[in-house]
Amino acid sequence: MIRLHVLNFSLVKDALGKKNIIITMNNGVTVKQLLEKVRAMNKQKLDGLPIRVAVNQLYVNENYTLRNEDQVALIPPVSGG
Amino acid sequence: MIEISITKEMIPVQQSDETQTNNGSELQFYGRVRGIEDNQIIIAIDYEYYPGMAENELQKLGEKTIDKFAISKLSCIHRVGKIPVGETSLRIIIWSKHRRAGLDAMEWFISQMKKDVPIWKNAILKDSSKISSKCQC
Repeated sequence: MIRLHVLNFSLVKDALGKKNIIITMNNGVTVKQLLEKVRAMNKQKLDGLPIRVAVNQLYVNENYTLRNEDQVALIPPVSGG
Repeated sequence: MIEISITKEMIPVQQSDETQTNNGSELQFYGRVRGIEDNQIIIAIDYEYYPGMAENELQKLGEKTIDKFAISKLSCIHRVGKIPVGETSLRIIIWSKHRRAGLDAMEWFISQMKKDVPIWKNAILKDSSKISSKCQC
């Protein structure tokens, strides 16, 4: 099993009600599988919301394999400026 | 040359840099908090950001911009936290030999920033409730 430090921002944080969560998953899990799990936590509010993922502060794609103790940021559409 | 920073302090107006004698163009852009967001009157915007990654993404974007356009120097300061209506949230200055490269670089930099840099707006209404702002890319 691996332990992931998940950081939620903006609309994702609002939907899940928490800034930081720890999620435990099987070895070899991908970003896509993590997103499926997170969306299942609050399907209604996250439904249709595009979420990009950064691992240890770098954007990755859905096929990226997560490792134990990774810091995983769930990034909804940004709106700086 | 690139200067990038994220601050919680007020962003000052920058005097034109007259030492840039090899650059015929200096563009200054100030983004300010509007009093209306999503057709509602607001009193401030609370900017949320991802510390570390936001700075890194801005730096990478600055480097890409310098590579892509014929500009000499780019400076960008983004303010975060609660910013009252009318105050500056973003200041970008671009120096270049000719204006066209600077204008194109400015537009591109801002457009890309609104796609990749992890910063989010939450508008604060008069009753202190918040609404997450939609990207106006």
